[in-house]
Amino acid sequence: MTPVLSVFDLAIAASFLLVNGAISTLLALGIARTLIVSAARMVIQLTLLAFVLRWLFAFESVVVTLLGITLMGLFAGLEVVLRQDKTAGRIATGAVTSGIILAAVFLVTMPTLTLLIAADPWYRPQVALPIFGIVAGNAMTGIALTLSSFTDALTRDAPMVEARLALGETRTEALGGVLRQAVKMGLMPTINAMAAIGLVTFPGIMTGQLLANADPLQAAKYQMLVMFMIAGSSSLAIVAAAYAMLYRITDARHRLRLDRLR
Amino acid sequence: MAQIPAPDWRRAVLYLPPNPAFWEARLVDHLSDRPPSPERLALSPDRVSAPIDQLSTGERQRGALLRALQLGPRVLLADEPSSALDPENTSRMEDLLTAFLGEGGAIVLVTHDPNQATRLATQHIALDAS
Repeated sequence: MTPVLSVFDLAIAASFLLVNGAISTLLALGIARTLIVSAARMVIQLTLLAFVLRWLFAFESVVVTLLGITLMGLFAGLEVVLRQDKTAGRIATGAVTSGIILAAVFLVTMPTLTLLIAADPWYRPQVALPIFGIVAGNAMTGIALTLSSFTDALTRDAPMVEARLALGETRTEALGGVLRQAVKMGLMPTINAMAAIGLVTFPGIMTGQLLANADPLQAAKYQMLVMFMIAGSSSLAIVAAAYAMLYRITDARHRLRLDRLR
Repeated sequence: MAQIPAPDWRRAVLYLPPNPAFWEARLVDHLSDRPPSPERLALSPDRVSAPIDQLSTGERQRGALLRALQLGPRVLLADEPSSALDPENTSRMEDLLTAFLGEGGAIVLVTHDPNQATRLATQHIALDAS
């Protein structure tokens, strides 16, 4: 049995935030405001999510599940754009990112949903939406890191990239170093998460299952499944996003187009 | 010209900037075994394998010319290639450029030194301050 939480229980837990706020005020860190706003956002968003999910679960239709997934993909694209100081076109970046996330996550989660977990039916929102959300969320973070690392490295190394292009290298050759660095940065959280899992961090899916009284080994297997999906889809999405950026920031004449970065 | 891929064109008509950039750790990583050799511009083996950021501007200019010529261009767009060089090294560089011309290469040279223009040019265009 999962213990049922009351609003009072949550209020006690929320009071820890006050300690945090007090420390921030004491040390003049200036984060008390952001902290409160973020905490409020979390409460509101999770509450809304719960109601939306209740409503969605009542439907159990392919269309509604796919709509939900698409919407999550679009939000993920928006979040990536909001995390960037500079983009090569905000709308283009958002659209391409959403497309990449949806494609990469579908490619990885669909076989899992239909064959491995084999929920009945596969689009059962209780299974499909959380899995999609976890995997898409990781791809989102990965792409956000990759793109910002790409723009930073490119802005810093522009003279070298220009020199390589001037000596007759193609855009993929001249920007290869920047691209590899960006992909590495994007994959870092996934790699760290896999390496440190169970030693430093207690994974979310497993925690949830344990709280719901599942057998630890069974819970661990589910966690592995999710980690494999995360690693697979994140790598795909990150590499695709990095190449999209490379082609966007250069042109067919193999010129560096930093003017497209705003 | 539009049919030639841009990278091929740039290797054939090579731009040599006054402050060249290097992306590898040492000059030697940018050079091949093809001629001209670093000795032609008085770059000793220890300078060639020194970290790039320990090279003087002049050493970098010399290294950049070697790197450019080793790619076998037909035309060199040289923008003040010897602006940071002492007279001896300027003369060494000019010898190399003259040899390149002798092998059928062409050079568009930008220089602030009228004597260098006289020494190297077959045709020259003078730009006024305007």
